[in-house]
Amino acid sequence: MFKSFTVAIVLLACLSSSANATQYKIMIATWRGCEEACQGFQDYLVEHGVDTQFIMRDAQKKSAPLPSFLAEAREKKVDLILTWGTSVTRGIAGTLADLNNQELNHDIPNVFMIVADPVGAGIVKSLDHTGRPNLTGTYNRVPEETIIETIRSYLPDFKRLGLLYNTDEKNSVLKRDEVADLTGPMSFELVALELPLDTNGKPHVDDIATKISELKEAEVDFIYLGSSSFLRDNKDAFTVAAVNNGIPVLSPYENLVHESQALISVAARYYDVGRLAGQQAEKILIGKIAPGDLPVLRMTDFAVVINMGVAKKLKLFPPMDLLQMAETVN
Amino acid sequence: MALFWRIWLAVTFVNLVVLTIFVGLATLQFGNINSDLVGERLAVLAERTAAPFNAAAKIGLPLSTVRNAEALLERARQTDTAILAIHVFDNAGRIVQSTDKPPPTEIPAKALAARAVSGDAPWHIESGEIFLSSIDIIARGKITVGGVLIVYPRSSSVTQIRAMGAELALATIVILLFGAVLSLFLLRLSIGKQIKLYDSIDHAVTNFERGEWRSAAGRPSLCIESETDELNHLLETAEKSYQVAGRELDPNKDESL
Repeated sequence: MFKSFTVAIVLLACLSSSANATQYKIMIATWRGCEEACQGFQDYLVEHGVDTQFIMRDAQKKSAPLPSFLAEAREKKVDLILTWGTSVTRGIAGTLADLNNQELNHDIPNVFMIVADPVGAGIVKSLDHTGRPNLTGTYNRVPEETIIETIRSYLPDFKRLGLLYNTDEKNSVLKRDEVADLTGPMSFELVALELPLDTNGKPHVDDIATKISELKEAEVDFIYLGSSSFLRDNKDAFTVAAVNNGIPVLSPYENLVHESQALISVAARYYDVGRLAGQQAEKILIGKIAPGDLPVLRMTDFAVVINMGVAKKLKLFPPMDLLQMAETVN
Repeated sequence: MALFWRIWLAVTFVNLVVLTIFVGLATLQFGNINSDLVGERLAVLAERTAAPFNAAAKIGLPLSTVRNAEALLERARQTDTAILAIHVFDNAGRIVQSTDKPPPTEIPAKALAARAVSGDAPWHIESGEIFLSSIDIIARGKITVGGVLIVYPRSSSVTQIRAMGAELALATIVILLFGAVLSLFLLRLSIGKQIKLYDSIDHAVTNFERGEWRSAAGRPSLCIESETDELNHLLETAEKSYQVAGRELDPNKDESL
């Protein structure tokens, strides 16, 4: 009796250890390297004891390699793909219009993050119901109304908003349209300038300063970055040109305030966004919940960050009430 | 002399009663003022705490999504180490940010009731062992989106009230003792002569009565030499008149007498 009991215990222990030993393969597909969100994602899973092998793939700001990432993921039988940004997500998971396209991912569980407008980009049906059995993600943007109200809180006389966008990024165009829709209800003018594309269909960094000067001539009160990986990557060219023209920049990316010369941001930390995506992955891998049954998880921690050094340069100091809730950097 | 001490005791007793009433009323008044002061101080703190949340609400950020809310509340809490907790709650009373870990789910029912009757104005109430002070958080368009609630212990206030009561009681005892001594001297000065006269009259009446009893018993009357001779004389005259009148009115009197 005692012997059979001991054998049973040993068997259970073996089974349990083999269950614990399950290692998940996750491919992380990024647009421009593994930054804070990508790091936050990995940290979350490690901290929560999810034994994971991360396969890192970087598109280096090009769409061409994305199909090969998916092919590799299928070949290596990864358990989940994490896609960073609108371009990578569209390149791997496609849109609702691509559901019959077998060259895109409709089989491997897929979590997206840092997608400015997943509904507008056609990636998901809605934030509550993705309409995609293998896809869910995170949403980390504040409503555009909040952006306009923040500008208005900073500059009560605000009338004209400047915006640069590049048509090679779907999210950039979508954000322009979204802001344009608010001009009537929120009583402001929008001066949206398109960055010209070169022969490769890409915008050029040298055009940023020119376009900022055009916004200056159009007498905009504030420039909003909108959504653009190109402008984010060229943050110094963008924000320095704006400051040199005496125009403040509001960025939806916090690092442009910390690391460059954007005056203010209303955003979530990318690291926290990555952790949120980690929660989604944990639910799929450990909780065995189908991605399509998970709503897109919204960020719950936002902050207004003000660069006081830039405020001093622009001689545009924040009002006290905004300063009371804002985080400041110099 | 007994009369003097009785008057003095009466004066001292009246003093004691008046001072006790004074201490009671003064302590009650202090309690009310103290409660108002604590409430006003907490209202100012609640207003200051609500300011950054007002700013967040005005730009359209939900109260639960303000990233540095914890730091903002903790900074406010540290302005007074006695503060038990500061909560940010939504219009339904659900706590969305708090210094408590873990935070309670919602604000007390009494707080919700007080908020309902206060309108948009800041309010404070005492509930059991705690003070509750609150102010609304207002978004753009003067829309109320929630409030800040400060929970503060009443114990420090009760201690202050008791300390004030004890201080007043001590002062009362000192005043009472001083008043007793003072009244002793004042009574002596003001009615000393009258008391002395009253005592001599009392003494004379007593002696007279004693003499009368001795005389009735056939013993020699006392020889009284005092300032009340005149009174003695009058008493003796009155007594004699009384006896004469008594005999005349007696129906069994001896006519020959």
